[in-house]
Amino acid sequence: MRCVGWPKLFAAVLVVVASTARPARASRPATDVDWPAWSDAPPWNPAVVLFMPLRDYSAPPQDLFVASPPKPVFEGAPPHAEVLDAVTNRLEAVVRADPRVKWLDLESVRSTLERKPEFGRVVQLVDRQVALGREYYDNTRLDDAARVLEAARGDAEGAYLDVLAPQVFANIELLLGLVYLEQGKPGAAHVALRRMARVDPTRRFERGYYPREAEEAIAQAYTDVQMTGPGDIVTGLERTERLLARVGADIVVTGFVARPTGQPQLLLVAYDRRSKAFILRETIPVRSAPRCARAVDLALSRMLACLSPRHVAQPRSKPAFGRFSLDAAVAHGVYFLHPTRDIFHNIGFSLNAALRVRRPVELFAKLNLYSSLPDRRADLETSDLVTARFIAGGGVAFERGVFKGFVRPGVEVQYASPFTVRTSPDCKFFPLGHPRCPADADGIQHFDGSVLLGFNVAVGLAVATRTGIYVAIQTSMSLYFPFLRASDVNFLLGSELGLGFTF
Amino acid sequence: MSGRAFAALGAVLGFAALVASCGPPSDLLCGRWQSRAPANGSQSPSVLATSGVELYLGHFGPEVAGIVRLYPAQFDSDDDCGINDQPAACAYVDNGRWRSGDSRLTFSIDLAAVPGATTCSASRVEFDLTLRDSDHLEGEMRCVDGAALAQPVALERLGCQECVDVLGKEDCP
Repeated sequence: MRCVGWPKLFAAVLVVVASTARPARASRPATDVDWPAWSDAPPWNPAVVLFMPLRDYSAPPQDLFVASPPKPVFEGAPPHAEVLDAVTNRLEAVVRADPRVKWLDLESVRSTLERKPEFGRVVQLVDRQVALGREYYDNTRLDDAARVLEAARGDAEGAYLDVLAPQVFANIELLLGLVYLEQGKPGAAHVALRRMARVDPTRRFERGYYPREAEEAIAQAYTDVQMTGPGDIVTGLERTERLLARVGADIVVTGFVARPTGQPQLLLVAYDRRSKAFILRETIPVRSAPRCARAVDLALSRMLACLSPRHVAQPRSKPAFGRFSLDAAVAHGVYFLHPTRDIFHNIGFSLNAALRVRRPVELFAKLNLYSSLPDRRADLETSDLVTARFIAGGGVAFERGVFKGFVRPGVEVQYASPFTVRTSPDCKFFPLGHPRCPADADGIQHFDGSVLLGFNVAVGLAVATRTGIYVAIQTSMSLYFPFLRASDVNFLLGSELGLGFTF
Repeated sequence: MSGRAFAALGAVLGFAALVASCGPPSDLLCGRWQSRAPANGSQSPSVLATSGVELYLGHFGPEVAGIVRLYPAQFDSDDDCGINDQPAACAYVDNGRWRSGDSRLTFSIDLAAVPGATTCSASRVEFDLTLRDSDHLEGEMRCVDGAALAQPVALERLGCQECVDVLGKEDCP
C-alpha cells in the first residue's frame, strides 16, 4: 500500500475532534422525565368534525299553511331559531378551541365538492331535470314527469343536495309527491312528501294553492316526521359515511328539535365513520337558549374526552429531515479528460451542508478534497494531484417519509495542485536530465497549480432515522472552463457516501 | 447532536481519510536482483561473456525500466548485498514489459558499447523472465540476431534494498 501524508494527519484530527466533541446540553439524571406541557405536545392528527346544520321539526302542523304568503312555497323561520343559533355557536366554539378536533362546516364541504367538475355538471343536470319534470307535470304527462323527477332525485342524492341545497331537493320531492298523488299512488306520495319534510322542515305553503288532497298529504307527511322523528342523520348512515370520506372528515355532528312527547327536545348526535358508531346521542329539553348551550357544552366535552385513541394518540409524523442538514462523506472522483494514458482515481472526503429555504427549494454548499491515486502505468507516480473544491448553489429536494431525493446544480471553484505526468518509464526511473530522460523529453508534462471555475450538478438520495442521523449517496458531474483543454483535467464524475445529521 | 452521532460522524470521517491515503500496488519487480547459478543450466556462459547479472528495476504497471550490470563471476547467496567486483558491463533496460497475466517480464539490453560482452553476432540481448514468487525470477536470455543461442538465468531479489533506494539512484557509469 502506498500512503500519502496529509490524509493521515487529517484522519487523526477528525478522530480526536469526534471523540472530544459533545453536545452543549448538560447531562441529566435518567429519572428526570420531561412531560411536555399541552402547548409543547406533539402535533395531533385532529379528528375532523363535520357539522351539519340543526333542523327544527317542532312547528305545529297548523302553521304549515299560511293564508297570504309571499310565495306559494316559502321558507319559514324555525320555531326555536334562538336555541338553534346558541347551540350551533357553542358547538363551533368548543370544537374550534379543542386541538384534538377540527371544525368543518357545510360551506367547506361545498367548496370541496365544487372543486370537482362533475359536481357542477350534476347540479346543472338536476336543474334541467326538475324544469322538465315540472313541464311534464303541468302538461299532465305524469309518467314522464315521475321518470324524470326520480332520476333527478337520484342525481341530487349523489351530489348531496339534500344537505347542500335542501330547498332544491325538497322541490323535487314535492313535485314527485304531487305527481304520485295524481297517479293515484298515495303511499309513494307520502314517502316523497315525508322526505321533503325531513330535509326542509321549515317549509311553508300557501293555503288553498294546492288541491285539498295534496294539502292533506303534505300535512300528514310533516306530522308523521314530527311524531316518528326524522332519523338521526338526514342523509342516512351509508351516504353519510361516503360524504365524510369524500371531504376527509371523521365525525359528523348534527341534531334536530322535535316534539316526540309534546315538549320540544333537542337531539344532538355525533357519528364516527371509522368506528361506525354513534359516539354522542344526547337529548336536551329545550327551555332556554343558554341552558341548551350549556347542556351541549357538557355533552360535547364528554364526547371529546372519550374520543377514540386513534384520534388523540396519532401524532402527525414529524418530517424525517429538518431544515438544516450537514454530512461528511467519503468521496471518489474520476476525470474523464486527463493527461495520463490511463484513467486515474481520486479519493477523499466531502462536507455537505444544505439549508431548506422553502419546500422543495434548498441552498447548499460543499467542500471537497481529493488526492489522486496512481494510475495503471503510474504516470502520476512521482507526484500527486491534490484538488480542493468548493461548490455552492440552490437545489430542490423532495421528501417522502424517511427518504429525500435531491438535485443540486451549483457553481464550482476548484484549486488543483501542481503535478507532473511522466509517460516514459525511463523518466520515472531516472532523474530528469539523465541521458535516458532529457529535460525536453516528450514523456514529461508539468502542470502548474491552477484555479478552475465551472459548473457542478449533483443528484442524490438520503435516508434518515428518527434520531436525525442520515445516510446519503450522491453522484455529481463537473465541467470546468475552458471545457475542452486536452492537456488538463476536466469532466469530473464524483460519487459520495456520507453520514450526517439533520436539525 | 448527541454524543453517539458525533462518534459515528468521526468514525466515518476517519475511515474516509484512511481510504483516501492509500493506493494500489504497482511495483512487484521494483528493486535489486542478482543472478544465481541456474539449477539445471550450464554453468558456462553462452550468450554473455560474463556470468553475473544484476538488475536494478523500476516497475510501473505494464512498463519496466532500469539498468543491467554484468559481472565476471556468478553471484552466490553469500554475496548478499556486498558487491566486490567492478562490473564488466552496464546497459539500460529497453522496452521493459510486464505481463501480469502470466507474470512475465521481457526486456532487452544493448551491449554495443561494450565489445566482447556478448557472444551474439548482434549486440542486443533479450531477457525473458517469469516471476516464480515474489523474490525469484527465472527464464533465459537470448540473442536477438536469430541465432538459437539461449542462456538460462535465475535471479533473486535482494531484501536489503528497498525500491525507493533504487529509483533514480542507480546508474550506469
